[in-house]
Amino acid sequence: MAISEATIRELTRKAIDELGPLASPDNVRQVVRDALARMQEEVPGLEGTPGFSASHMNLGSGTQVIVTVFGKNKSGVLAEVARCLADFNGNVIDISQKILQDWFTMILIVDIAELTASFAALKKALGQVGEKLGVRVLAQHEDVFVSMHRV
Amino acid sequence: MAWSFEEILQTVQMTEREHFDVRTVTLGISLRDCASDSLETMKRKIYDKITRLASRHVAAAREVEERWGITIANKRISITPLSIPGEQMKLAGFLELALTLDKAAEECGVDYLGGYSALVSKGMTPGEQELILSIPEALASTKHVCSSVNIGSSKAGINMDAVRLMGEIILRTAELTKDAKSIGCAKLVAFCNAVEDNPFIAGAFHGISEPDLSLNVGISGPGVVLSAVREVGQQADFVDVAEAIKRMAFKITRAGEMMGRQVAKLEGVPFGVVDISLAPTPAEGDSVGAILEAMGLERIGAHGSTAALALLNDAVKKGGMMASSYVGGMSGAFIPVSEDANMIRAAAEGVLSIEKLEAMTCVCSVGLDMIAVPGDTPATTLSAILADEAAIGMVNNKTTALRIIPVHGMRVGDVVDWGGLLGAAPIMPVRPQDSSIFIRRGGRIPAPTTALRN
Repeated sequence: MAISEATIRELTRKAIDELGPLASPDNVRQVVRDALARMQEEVPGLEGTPGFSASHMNLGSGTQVIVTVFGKNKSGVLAEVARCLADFNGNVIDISQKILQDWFTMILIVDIAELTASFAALKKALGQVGEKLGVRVLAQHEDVFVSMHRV
Repeated sequence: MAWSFEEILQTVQMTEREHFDVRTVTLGISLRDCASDSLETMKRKIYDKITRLASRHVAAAREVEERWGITIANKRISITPLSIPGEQMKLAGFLELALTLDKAAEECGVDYLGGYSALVSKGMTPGEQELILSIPEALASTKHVCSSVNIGSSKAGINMDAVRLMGEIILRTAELTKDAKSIGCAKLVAFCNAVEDNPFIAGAFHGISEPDLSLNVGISGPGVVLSAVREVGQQADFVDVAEAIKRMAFKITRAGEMMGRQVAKLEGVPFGVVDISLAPTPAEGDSVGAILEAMGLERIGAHGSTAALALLNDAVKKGGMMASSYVGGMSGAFIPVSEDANMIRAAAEGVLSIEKLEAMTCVCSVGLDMIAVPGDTPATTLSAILADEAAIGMVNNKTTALRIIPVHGMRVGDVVDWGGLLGAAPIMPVRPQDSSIFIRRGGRIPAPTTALRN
């Protein structure tokens, strides 16, 4: 579902009212974000899935990237990758992992709206983490997946 | 999670293992405002316009590659056929303009620039004749410049004077670049029904009905389609094969268009078209020949190859057209012999002949591409091969082309290796019978009845 700017403004105003004296910029942002997430969950069907609303003609504005890690299973992979993302202030939204015949595969969806450095720098750092652990770490903007897998 | 595990893994597998990339983003630049009767003025205007508009091209493409994690294999430039702004130039002037283009391409960091071209399907203007005559030396004295000549169309027929001339031009280009295994001919294409928005080198040029600038994109190569065909297995019937190819074509076209649009946006240039031609590279598995072989032919070139290619390309078109509203360019099958590992093998074994390749151009191949023939092939025979190709294009309302290399000093049985993207090719035999009287007649082969559609 496409959420208009007006809706976001309205939510923000409500959040400030409700929080009263507690309304710091961080708090308000968190409340609005939670409310938006709930709104998306409430809408049934395809429209509710993030990614669907992004027409393939109008990509590039999203802030989510998909980080894929794969290689021989060993301890510490999740911790190291998560630490690297945290160092750059990347916000992990979703995570899923599987071990298939001793091969470790992990997919993280990361919001990079408030990254403290450039995406290129994050990619480089993730690559270095991968090298250290002997696994492959890829980071791709979600548009690639929207365009390829959604009609 | 908005994405299934399998969807993400499939994309990752495509980029990591199956050569999934965007084959080319090509910036088309009009040079029509660079015309002048003064050579110095033209040189300055052309150099300034190209470097001003294309200096960001490579950097923008790199930025998009970085952000979306998909490689863009080639970043290129196409220009208005130079004979149009250069109409008032003489041969020597065109040679200087070729050097200017080379310098501009170098400055912008692109490997090739296409558009040292003339469109002469119905006849030649004096400027076009001068440009065509300058081609051998222009290609021998530059590194990045590519040339093409349109010698026929379904509307106009085939300009046989131009066909005769092109045989001589190809041979002369081979001679002038003999120290580099006649590589000049790899940068020269003769067309029938050339398209105006083709992003692929060496035949790219920025057509006369295009805007001042446009950005066209060529999709990924055959590697990903090959693995889709392999996956359906040998027992699957044709509809399953076609279905698998369509699905894959959809995905790579979507990704190609998305990447192209991002580059266009960064450069502030209108997006043109997605060309959904499958262009092979010499890398193992990135081969159109391998796709046909995966369908169940022992070698590409075996009986059945034409039908297999027809199925392949039709399915690619259907998937691609669903994915993008702006499919254009050539959007046919490229079967360049030297650039496709499985075709090299088939040609070396004698399975793949020029005649079989010609048959494939009747269905969807865009021409005899990167074919090495003996260096002593007569110019009139080269012209006759071009006339045959052009006739197929003219009658079938499709683009056909000839990129043939009569490798200086080599004969059947030798193998020429250019290295890199151009690959290696065994010298293929041509018919020894003489076609010279036919070629020397001159004039124009009339357009077929299908030209009268109104």
